[in-house]
Amino acid sequence: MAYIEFKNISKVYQMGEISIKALNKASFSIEKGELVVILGPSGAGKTTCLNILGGMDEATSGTLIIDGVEITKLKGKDLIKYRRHDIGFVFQFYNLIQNLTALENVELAVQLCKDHLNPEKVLKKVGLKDRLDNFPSQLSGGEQQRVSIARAIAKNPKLLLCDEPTGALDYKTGKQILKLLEDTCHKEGMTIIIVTHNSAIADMADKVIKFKNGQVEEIYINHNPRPIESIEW
Amino acid sequence: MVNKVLIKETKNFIRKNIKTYIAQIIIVTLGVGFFVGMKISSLDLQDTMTEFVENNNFYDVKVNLEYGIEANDISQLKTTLEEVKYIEGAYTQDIVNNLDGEDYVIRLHSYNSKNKINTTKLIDGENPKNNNECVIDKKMHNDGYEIGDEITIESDLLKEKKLKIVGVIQSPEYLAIDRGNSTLLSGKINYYVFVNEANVNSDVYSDLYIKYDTNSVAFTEMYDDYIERKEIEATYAVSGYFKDKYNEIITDQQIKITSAKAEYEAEKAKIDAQFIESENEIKNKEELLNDTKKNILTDKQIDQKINSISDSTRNEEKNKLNNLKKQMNNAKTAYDNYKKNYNNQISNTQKRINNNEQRIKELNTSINSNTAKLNAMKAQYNSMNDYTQGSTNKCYPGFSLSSDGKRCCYPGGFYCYNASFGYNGFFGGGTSPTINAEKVALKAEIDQLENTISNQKIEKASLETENISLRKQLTISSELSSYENKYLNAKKQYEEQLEIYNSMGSSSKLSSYYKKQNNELRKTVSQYEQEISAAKTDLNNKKNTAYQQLESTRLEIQNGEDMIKTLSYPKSYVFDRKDNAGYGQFISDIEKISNLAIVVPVVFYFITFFMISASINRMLYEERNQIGTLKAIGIRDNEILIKYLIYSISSVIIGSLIGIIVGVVILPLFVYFIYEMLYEFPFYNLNFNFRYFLIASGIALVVAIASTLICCKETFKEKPVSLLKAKQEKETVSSIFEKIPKFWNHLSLTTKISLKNIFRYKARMLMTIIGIGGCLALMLTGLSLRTSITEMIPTQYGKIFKVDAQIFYKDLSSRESLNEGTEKILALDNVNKGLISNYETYTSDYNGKTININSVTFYDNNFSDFIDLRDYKTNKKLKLDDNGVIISEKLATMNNIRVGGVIKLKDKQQKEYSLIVKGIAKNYIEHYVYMNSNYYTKAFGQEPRNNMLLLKTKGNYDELELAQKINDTNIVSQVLYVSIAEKAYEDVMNNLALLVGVFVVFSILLIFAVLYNLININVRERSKEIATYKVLGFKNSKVISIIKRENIILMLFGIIFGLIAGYILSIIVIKTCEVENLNFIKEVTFNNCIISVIATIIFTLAFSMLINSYVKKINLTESLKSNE
Ligand SMILES: Nc1ncnc2c1ncn2[C@@H]1O[C@H](COP(=O)(O)OP(=O)(O)O)[C@@H](O)[C@H]1O
Ligand SMILES: [Mg+2]
Repeated sequence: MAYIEFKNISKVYQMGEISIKALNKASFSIEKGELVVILGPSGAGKTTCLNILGGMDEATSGTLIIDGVEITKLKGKDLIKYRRHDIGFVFQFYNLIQNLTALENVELAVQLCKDHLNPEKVLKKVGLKDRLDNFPSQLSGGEQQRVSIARAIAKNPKLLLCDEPTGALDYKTGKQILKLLEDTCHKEGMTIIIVTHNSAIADMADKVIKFKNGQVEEIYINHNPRPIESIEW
Repeated sequence: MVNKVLIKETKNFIRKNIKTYIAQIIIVTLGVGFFVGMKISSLDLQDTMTEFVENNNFYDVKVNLEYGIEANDISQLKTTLEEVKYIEGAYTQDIVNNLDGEDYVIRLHSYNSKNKINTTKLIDGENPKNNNECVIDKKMHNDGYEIGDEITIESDLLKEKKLKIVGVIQSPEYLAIDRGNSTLLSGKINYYVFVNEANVNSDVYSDLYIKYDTNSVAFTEMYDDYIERKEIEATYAVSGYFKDKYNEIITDQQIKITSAKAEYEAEKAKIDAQFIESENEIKNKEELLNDTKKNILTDKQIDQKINSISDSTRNEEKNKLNNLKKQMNNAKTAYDNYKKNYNNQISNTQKRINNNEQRIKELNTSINSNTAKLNAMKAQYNSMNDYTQGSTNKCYPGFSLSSDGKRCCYPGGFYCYNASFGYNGFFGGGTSPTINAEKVALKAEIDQLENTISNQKIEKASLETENISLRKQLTISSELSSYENKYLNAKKQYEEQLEIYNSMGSSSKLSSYYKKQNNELRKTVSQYEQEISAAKTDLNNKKNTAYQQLESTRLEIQNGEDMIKTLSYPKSYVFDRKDNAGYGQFISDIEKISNLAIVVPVVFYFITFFMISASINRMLYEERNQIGTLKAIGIRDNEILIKYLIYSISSVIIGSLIGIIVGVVILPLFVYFIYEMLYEFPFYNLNFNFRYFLIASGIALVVAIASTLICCKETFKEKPVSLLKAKQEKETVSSIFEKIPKFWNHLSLTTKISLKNIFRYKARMLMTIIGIGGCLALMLTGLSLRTSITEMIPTQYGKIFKVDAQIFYKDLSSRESLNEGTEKILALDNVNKGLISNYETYTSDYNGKTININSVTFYDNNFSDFIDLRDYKTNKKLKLDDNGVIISEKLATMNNIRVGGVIKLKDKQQKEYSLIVKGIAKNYIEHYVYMNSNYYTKAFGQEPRNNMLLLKTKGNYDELELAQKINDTNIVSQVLYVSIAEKAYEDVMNNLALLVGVFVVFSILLIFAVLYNLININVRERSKEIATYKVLGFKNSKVISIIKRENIILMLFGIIFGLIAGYILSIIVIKTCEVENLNFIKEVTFNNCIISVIATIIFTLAFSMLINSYVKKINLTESLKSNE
């Protein structure tokens, strides 16, 4: 059995009389240490898929098994524990706590789990060793996203989920961020899922999952993933 | 586990929002401070006075005695009272005294350093040690009398009238600056002065003070209950004691008078007899003198006698001799007979004396046995009292206490019961029905026996007097000696004649005999003459002194009899602390302060709830995204919640702590300051009452936590996913205006936006309306309370009581002197007219408390110039008829009486009367019942006494001068100016109004805090919206106008809400602040509404200025950066 089993998962949003199927019996599996890119047009259900993976939302039907644990059966406290120990999240709009410094934002997450990494070292690794005591408002978008990534990886999660991490960034900064994620995957062996609508990025992935209208359109394995530096778009 | 970083985040958050945070703290401070402050102020005031009153042993009961009381009576009286700690006598006297040209009413008190009750607190100088020293009160000191000054007190009670002031003192009898009432001058005491007790020239104390051995302290309900019982007990004990004493005095006096009378009569008879005897003696002597004179012979007669002696002469002489012998014998038999008779009489008298003495002995034994019996009966009666009073460990008669004291047993022990049930235990608890009957019967027996004893004593006394006079009869009668003298005289004459007869032979012998006889006769004559004149002067002298003495005895007896006739039963008046002007007033004043703290804090808390809710809601709205992120990271709800709880709880705690300072120190000091105008505080106690602090801050805390949890609950329920998205407004409800297209279509775009916004953010709308409205309501309430308090006096004393003075007549029996005096009063210059009426006081029970009711009875219906009675609802003039009474409004509402109902009054003897209510009149101060004389007669079974004259004055006059003139008619006991009562109430009301001022200030501060907070929240919550408008190219002014318009619309709604809430709140607050004897005007005036509306508008607009600067300063990039 694969590390992550995403089986026949549907998600239905009930809006009065209309029901919107954000996910429609989507299935895929991911191996440990893989760098996965989820592709698809806007509204295809990518974020919904990621939210369910991250335990932030519940699936309407289907089963999700990660490392042998059936996540779709978790409730309440167990779900929080799952998010706390196993998941790292990187958002499109960074979602940093405005009233905390970069270091404090990382510390906030790190305090939650036992085998975490040293926040300062992680921030150093993401290239922010001089900006530890800056508040988010004093940082650029790329820097904020790096804090956000640092916050996620410092927890040493089993799974790092990134929802359009470069969506709000310029080309160059976006590339730096992707490089950071690639390094994290290859050097730390962390399983990383990156959601994007930019198909060019797919080349860096070990596995690419294409979404369309809430369904998995295509899954293919990249036998020779290209390093991000060599990818142009 | 508390996340340290989250705590840090909270700190930063608070720092960033410090302004709203402070506003919130201020709101809590105001609420807690006001509640704690008002409660603690009344406690502090009470505590200060309690300490003063108890430390100085203010009397529990004071007895005022008509004829005074001797030290010896006090110690005897003490034995009849229970639980007495101290009992002491003292002197008081009210005098009108001239000080520096003006008349003052001064109450004199005696000072004795050994006394324990009513001790004075020395404020300056020292206590009086010598007779020429005195100490004065603060008020007199404030009016310029210094230590070392000398004053003259014109009191007949003082030995030394020129007194040196040596100190300033304060007595617990005078807590208030108002010194209480006197019957002198205008009826108010100006000063009180203590003089050395040794300087008082009287054998009897005028007052008796009692302090009981109790743990309950002044101003508590427990004390009231205790003392009410004790007051009744003391009343019975004192009146009982004086009744016994009075009876004793009367009996004593009667015995003395009877014996004096008997003595007088005996003395008079004796003296009269003596004088008659002496007069007779003188008469006898005079006769003797004449006889002797006749016996003196001239020389011729002697010659003739000698010459004419013949046989016939000799025969004659012999005859004479025989005659004399016969006379002598007669005299002897008369003497013997008399003597025999006399001896008989003496033995009779002696017998009678013996009989009397026997009777006296009998009486003595009977009196002794009766007295013993009486004492036994009294003891039984007293012990019966004990049983009925529920004292324990006394057994029912016939039962006796077992040796271990635990049980009451019938002799033989076949029936026992637990002794702790006391007397009633025999009946198995409960009150024995026979006890009272038995008691009454026993009392009758006692009275009868007392009568018997006194009669016996009288009889004994009269017997003793009789014996005195009888014994005097035993001394030897002068008549007997006169009989003896007559006999001896006759014997002497006979012997002389015998000598003459025998010597009849030689002429010379005869001649010398006759001459010698003549000489002797002459000597006797002159001796007689001397004796007679001496006896005459002697008699006259004796007569004079004897009659003088008799006359004085007679007068004494007369006086004694007169005294018995005039001696009335001695009156005693029993007072407790509540009857003391200062003490009684103080109780109701602290109640008023405490009442003010009841409703108002509820409003503060209500507003606190909404303010915290508003702040938290804004925070949650602003931080949705953050909460979502935290949740996504895996932080528990509770940990995230902590931040909001810290925010609200810390603001409450800080606010409470500051509130404590305000409430424990600042407000009480302010209240002391205000009440310093009415009371003399010996010191200022500040207490920290943990209970009130806990209540106040506890409620604030609960309110804070509740509002935080309620607000957070909904947000936290959401999943992190939805939190990361902007809040979904549940369908934008179209405003009602949109449903009126004609109206809607004519509005400008910005107005449309404003209106839509208002209805979109319902929570914000509600909060703003409630916030603004609540503040307005609070301010309106404060203003209404103030108005109702201050308006009460002019309404009562201007519109209802039109009378200027109440004059109370002395208890005069003569109607003529009363009419005459009244006419004199009405003829005075400044008197307009008067109305004779009847004034009495009654009581009524209300919720277990006794309330005092004034009853006024008129003789006709023309009283409306003096007291204008108007229906409390319709304001129509009310008239009195023969079928019922008109009662004052508060009396009716308190007892829930309607027209046609019945009001029950009790007189001083606790007798109850039911009166039919025919009307309810407007009235704001104290309770009144009005009726006409016919109904009075019907209801009370007797005609009303004319004891009061209501007076209307005219022109300008000096009140004291007029009172003096009225007093000069001698029919008046007291003149009470309505203006003085008005002034007294005005003082109280002004203080209360000042307190209400505190309330108004607090509510204004609250308005500031609330408005600031609301506008801040409103603007910050919408920073993105504002930024968007600006990005779209709206001018600043346009943006401001959109938001301001919203605020103004909300303010208008708030004003409407506030006026309604304010009206309701005003009525509630006025009702709770009201005290028993006042009827606050329950009205919300138009003026007050206008004032509070205008103030609200000004404050709101002023704070709206904040919007301007905010809109101008808003950071577009930051506001639009996040993905909300
Ligand atoms: N809270 C929601 N309520 C209703 N519909 C939703 C909600 N969230 C997402 N959707 C719908 O689900 C579909 C998938 O959305 P999403 O997963 O966000 O797409 P994307 O692939 O762009 O990330 C979309 O059609 C979206 O409109
Ligand atoms: Mg998406």
